[in-house]
Amino acid sequence: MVARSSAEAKFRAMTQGICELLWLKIILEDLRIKSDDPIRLYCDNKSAISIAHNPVQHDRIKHIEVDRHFIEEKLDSGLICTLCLLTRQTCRYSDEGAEQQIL
Amino acid sequence: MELPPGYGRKTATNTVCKLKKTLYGLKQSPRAWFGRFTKVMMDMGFKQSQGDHTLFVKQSQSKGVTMLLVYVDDIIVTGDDEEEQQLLGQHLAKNFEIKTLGKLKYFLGIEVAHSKKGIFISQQKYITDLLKETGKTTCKPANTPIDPNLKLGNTEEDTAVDKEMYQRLVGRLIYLSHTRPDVAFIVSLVSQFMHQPKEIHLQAALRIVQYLKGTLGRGILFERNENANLEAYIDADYAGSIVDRRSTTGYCTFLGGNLVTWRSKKQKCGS
Repeated sequence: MVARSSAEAKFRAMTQGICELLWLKIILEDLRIKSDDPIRLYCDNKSAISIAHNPVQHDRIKHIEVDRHFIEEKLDSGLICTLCLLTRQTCRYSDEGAEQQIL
Repeated sequence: MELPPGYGRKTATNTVCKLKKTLYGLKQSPRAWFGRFTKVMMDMGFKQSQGDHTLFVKQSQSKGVTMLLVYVDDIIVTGDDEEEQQLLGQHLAKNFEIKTLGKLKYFLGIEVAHSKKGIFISQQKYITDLLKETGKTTCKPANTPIDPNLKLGNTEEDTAVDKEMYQRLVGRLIYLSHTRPDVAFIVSLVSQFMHQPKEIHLQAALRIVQYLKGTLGRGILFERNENANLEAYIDADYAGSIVDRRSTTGYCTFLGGNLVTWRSKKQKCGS
């Protein structure tokens, strides 16, 4: 099967991200670090977020049905909230030397 | 297996040895060792974490928490209960032959530095060794880990390179991405051609090494922080791989503003 839109690819990425977050949450509980706030999930794709929130099933997104139900379950339980992050489409590595904030 | 010297009856046919404990080199040995270690930890009142089986946690009565992480025979202990930690040290010394090395400085090739700001982890020595091994010690550092316009694919006509050497190099780069999220994507890209590496792939891998030379001291800083909020940033490209048109997922998770996990992975099905 082939995705017709990048939203579908991003949607899959969202699922993988949530899986990692759930794992982290289990570890944190073991370490007695508690946080009741919902986990914030940032994504730069508005349609992927809309698909996650909207319970209507379209033809276009039939390939990602399982992922959709998984995300919806987590959203409904209040464990996770999605936020849209607007990014500029810029090349991360410029030839003049990469400026990175993380490192 | 041969009978050990001094063992009474010689060369009796159709006899077997019954093992009472595991021997070094048997495939059951690692599990037996970990089982024994787990038992000792359980006796101490520690609980095995289900999210990570090598993590043991104990909550003492004074509300302090003691944590222990084990990798084969290397152990890290941390927590906010000094007394419990000393007890743990004594208990482990009683059961195993151990040596206490003091404050954590070096673990599995990762250097750990403590400062007022927080904890900094890096793999500087590992990169220096990698540069020596690839003979790139005196090379010109590259500004970027990959040429932004380069698309890697299966190029049939290109000359093949030494497979073992390529796999070793990429394997070392994969280990390096434990403290270097900036090369995670490119390392995952070059590792997709392990089975049939060509000249262009090797050049791309060596370019990463060149980039690392210019950015030796980089690592991850865990800053002291009051809150412990979880956040995740996710993204994906669209049909980024020119071999099978699959997309690549990327995400990084932050705990209290500090980067804890990240991944760059080609998606399993074509979307």
